[in-house]
Amino acid sequence: MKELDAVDDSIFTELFLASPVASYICNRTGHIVAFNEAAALLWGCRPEIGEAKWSGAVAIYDPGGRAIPVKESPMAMVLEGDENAADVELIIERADGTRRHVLVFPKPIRSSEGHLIGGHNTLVDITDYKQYEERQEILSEIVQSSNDAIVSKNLNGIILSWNKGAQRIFGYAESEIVGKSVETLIPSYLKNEEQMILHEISEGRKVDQYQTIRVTKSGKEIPVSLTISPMRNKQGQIVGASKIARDISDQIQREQTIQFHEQQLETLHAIGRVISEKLDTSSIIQTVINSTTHLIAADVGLCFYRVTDEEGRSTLSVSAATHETALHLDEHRIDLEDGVIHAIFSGEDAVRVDDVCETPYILSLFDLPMNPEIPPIRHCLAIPIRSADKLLIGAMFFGYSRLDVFNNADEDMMRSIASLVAVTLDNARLFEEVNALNLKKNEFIALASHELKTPLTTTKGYLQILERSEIDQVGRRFLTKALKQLERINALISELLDISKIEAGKLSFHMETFDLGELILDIVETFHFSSRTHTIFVNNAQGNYLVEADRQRMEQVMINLITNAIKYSPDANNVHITLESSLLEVSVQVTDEGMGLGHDQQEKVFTRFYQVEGTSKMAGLGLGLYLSKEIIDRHGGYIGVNSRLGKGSTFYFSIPRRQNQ
Amino acid sequence: MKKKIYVLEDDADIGELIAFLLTEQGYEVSVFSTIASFRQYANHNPLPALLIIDVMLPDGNGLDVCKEWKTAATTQSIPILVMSAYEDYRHDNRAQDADGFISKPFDIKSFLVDVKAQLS
Repeated sequence: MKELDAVDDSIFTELFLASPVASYICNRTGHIVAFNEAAALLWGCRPEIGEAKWSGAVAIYDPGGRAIPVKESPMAMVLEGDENAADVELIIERADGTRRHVLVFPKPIRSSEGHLIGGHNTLVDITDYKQYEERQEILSEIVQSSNDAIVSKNLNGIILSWNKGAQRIFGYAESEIVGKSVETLIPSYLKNEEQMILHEISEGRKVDQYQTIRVTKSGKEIPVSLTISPMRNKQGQIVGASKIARDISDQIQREQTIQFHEQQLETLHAIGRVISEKLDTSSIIQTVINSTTHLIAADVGLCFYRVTDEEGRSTLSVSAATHETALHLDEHRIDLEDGVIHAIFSGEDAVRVDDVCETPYILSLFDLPMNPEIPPIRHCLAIPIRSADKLLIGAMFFGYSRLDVFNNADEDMMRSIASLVAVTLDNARLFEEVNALNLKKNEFIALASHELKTPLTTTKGYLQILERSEIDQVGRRFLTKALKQLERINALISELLDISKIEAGKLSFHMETFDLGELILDIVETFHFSSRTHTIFVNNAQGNYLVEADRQRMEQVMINLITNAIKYSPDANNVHITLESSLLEVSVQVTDEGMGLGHDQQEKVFTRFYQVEGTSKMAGLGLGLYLSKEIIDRHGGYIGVNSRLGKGSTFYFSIPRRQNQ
Repeated sequence: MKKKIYVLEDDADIGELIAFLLTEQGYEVSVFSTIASFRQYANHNPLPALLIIDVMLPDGNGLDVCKEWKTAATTQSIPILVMSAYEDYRHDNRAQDADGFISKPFDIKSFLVDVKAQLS
């Protein structure tokens, strides 16, 4: 085989055509006379030989994207004799509209005489490289522009890279910190943390959102959240770690703010609950002062408030609390004169006293038997409590030993709580007033009933004397009517008095042992005189009906039941009373043959002021059965009714033979 | 000889009513409208066969008089009827030794029954 010792033109031609690098040749006028396959691929077309000039591309742009006329293309420039046009970067537009980045190397072709006869051009496609470069730039830009600190370090903890975020958060410039240990950023009491992190990384594990503390260049400790991932080389070996640190001071502050507001809400809720559930002023105020003192982290809280007792006397009370607990001031009552309270506030909503030592009357408020560990009170926040009509009815004082304690949020909160307290105090005052009025009402009814009965006594007496005398039938009928009406008035007055006693919880009973059967017979006998319309039969009257009960009250019940039986059976003539007894109780039934009661009415007859519809002519105040029920209930018995409309009613009651008292 | 009954009652009309009823029954009746005038009289006159006392009097409480008479040796055997429009006095401690309680307004028949029961 013949050795290759010289290269002829055909080999060069072959090389040109087969080269993977795009190349083409133009003549003196710039017409393309030859191009290889690589050039056709790059352009995406095959320009017509002898027609296309200077370039096979659809269009040419400089790297900035500005269009370059083809006659000013580097090849054209070379053919114009401009040697400097060589080795430039261009963007070419292909036949399909896509663009490629290329480096062009146009060179002139000269004849053996040295005349310019054409040019050749080589195009190196650098598009992939350019894109990679762009991606790198974007990544780098992302890292640089991140708000988080992005840092890389090797397995010895030496910092390798440092972005602007890291500089912003930690204060060190890149040049100051790269090459130093990452321990520079770790507070001394957390130094072993880095060992733990490096251990995790060297094991190939990621440390995710680890919240810890780091130190800035100025020495300030800041809370950070760290995410640390292992960094590997091309062979997959772990060579270091990338670390993203986020400054979470704001987040933590937001969390604390939320927590603070939650606590405030909870306190307000608790106070609202206590105000709506309790009526006892002092325990409400104590709860309020305990929780508010704790909430605003005061060392001592005091609440002065005015209360009115049952006799209408107004006194100043005080509740106190320390940050931890309620403070009992039983033996250490503080006197705060109204004049002083008024002087403190004088129209202000709240007063901040920077130095209580300068206002002795406030200083003296805090002279309490307190835990000696509480340092002396220095500052005071004073909040007035005003009633709905703007009267000053109390005040809250919060004492602090620390400096720099006042803030608007606390003050706003305390103002709202003060208005809640005002509502409480107003309510308590109204409650006391209502109680006092009720007391007066009951006293008045007692007095009035006594005074009303005095003229009744004389009227009844004289009418009864008249009744005995010789008078005609008409006169006698009128007298009977008048006496009946007197009895009604007397019964009404007694009922009113009883009701007021029940309301006041003063209906008292005097238990004695007597025979209920005998009592009933006595009562029935008096009805034989007064009621000429009805005959009252007593069944089983003989027997052992001994009970321990209040004789007058049982008489009242029997009279009420018999009177009702007669009153509500105007067209009948008989009332039946039946007694029954057992070992433990005695029962009585009173049966009439009257109008009876519907189901609804039966449920209501024992309620206060109830009157059966359509019977208003007959009725009194509607208190009789209510009182009877109260009396039977208080004897530990029960009372009820069986009835059908139009078929009469049976009222019955039972009482135990003995009272368990 | 007529039995003497002292009545301590400040309401003139009631006093007159009671005096009328009892005189009619053959008793000798003295009515007093104040405790002071009653004491004054009782100290200088023979003791009565029966004492009827209203509770609420202008110069004191009739129950105190009741207790006083029921405590003193010379008067404790004299029956006393306490009388009031206010039922609660029936169970007052000072009335526990009284011989009866009359509710106002009273029925004249039962009133006379109660009086006679004490004097029989």
